[in-house]
Amino acid sequence: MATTIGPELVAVLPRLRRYALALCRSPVQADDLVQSACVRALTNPDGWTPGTRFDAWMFRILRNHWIDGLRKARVEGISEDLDARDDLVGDSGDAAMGKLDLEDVKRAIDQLPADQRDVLVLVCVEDLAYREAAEVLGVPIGTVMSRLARARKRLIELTNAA
Amino acid sequence: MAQVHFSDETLMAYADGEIEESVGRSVEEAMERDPAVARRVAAFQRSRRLAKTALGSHAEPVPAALKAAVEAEIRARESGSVVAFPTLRRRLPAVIGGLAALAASVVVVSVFFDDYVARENGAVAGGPMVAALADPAVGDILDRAASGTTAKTRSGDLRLVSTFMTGAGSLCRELTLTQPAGETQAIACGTPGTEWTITFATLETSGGGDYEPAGADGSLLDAYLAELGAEAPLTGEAEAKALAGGK
Repeated sequence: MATTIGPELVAVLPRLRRYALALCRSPVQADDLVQSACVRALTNPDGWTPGTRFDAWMFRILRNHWIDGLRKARVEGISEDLDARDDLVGDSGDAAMGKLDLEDVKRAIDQLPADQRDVLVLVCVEDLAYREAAEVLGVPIGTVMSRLARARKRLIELTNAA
Repeated sequence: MAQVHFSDETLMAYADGEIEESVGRSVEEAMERDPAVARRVAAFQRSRRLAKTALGSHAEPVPAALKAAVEAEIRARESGSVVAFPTLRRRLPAVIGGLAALAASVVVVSVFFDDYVARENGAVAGGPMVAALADPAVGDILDRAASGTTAKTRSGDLRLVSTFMTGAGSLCRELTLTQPAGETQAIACGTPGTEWTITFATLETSGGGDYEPAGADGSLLDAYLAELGAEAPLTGEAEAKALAGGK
């Protein structure tokens, strides 16, 4: 019997989409990305070993697909509809002091370099272990740790300044 | 006293609980001695909470269109995989006009079918539709009726949509059963005069008009047909010959 991943896939959808949004920051692209990743997973369900983390497997597929898309986009010149993402990006440049709110944090995360934001989301939001994040990203665990530490120091600096 | 310097990575790993016990103990000792170390650890803990709260607290609801699209993919692929390798018979087949396994067959198809109906159409009952397709009279119709014709059955109007060969060399027919409650699209594969097996069944709100198996309506069916490797429909004499071939 082929591995059936449908139920796991449906369960992980909200988190897949959240990760996709963190990667590409465009809802339209994120939805396309999620759907393509799901198709890819369904085409090769045996790529997942039952007993291992299904979410990490899906994150890896989604991320690989995203990178493939980036290569193509470089050729086709796709522009991100960042304006549609104002719920995440927030208004830029308001000089309000005082209370740190979630918008400040989101804005700070958004200002991180993409590779740092990626690992921050995987570890701090999606609760992957360093090793699991390293597998998703296809980099050594040391790279995960250095990117993650830089991202978090930067996040603290940016939000302290707010 | 010797000052031990801890890298950001080490303190972060401590904050995340991802550090070896022995190193963790020395971090704890340093935190007791040096408030700066404790502050750095606290900052890493705080950054994690911030990120989680900002991005993780309210995962936006998945858009209905995306969810529906993924669920359709799941249905198409995971139900399709049953017949993608027809010789393996991964599940008990539904037999129409055969002697055995009728009861089992209804269950098998309706597992998929009820699931679909429950998701898409709420209250519509899937079971009776599938049971209708298990009517032995339907098997007779599949043996004889040309594509494009409609036959009356006890359960509703049965329209033969097309006859085609699969990539694996099986003979299959696409059919549509119209009942007051809705329309069932199904694929039956088998040997004319011997047995037909329903390999796929689903409810569709009818698009109508297009009697090619790769019709524009019913992407689920299209996906299934693609997976089967359905060849161009047999028409006229070729169809009659294929249907007579099993006798």
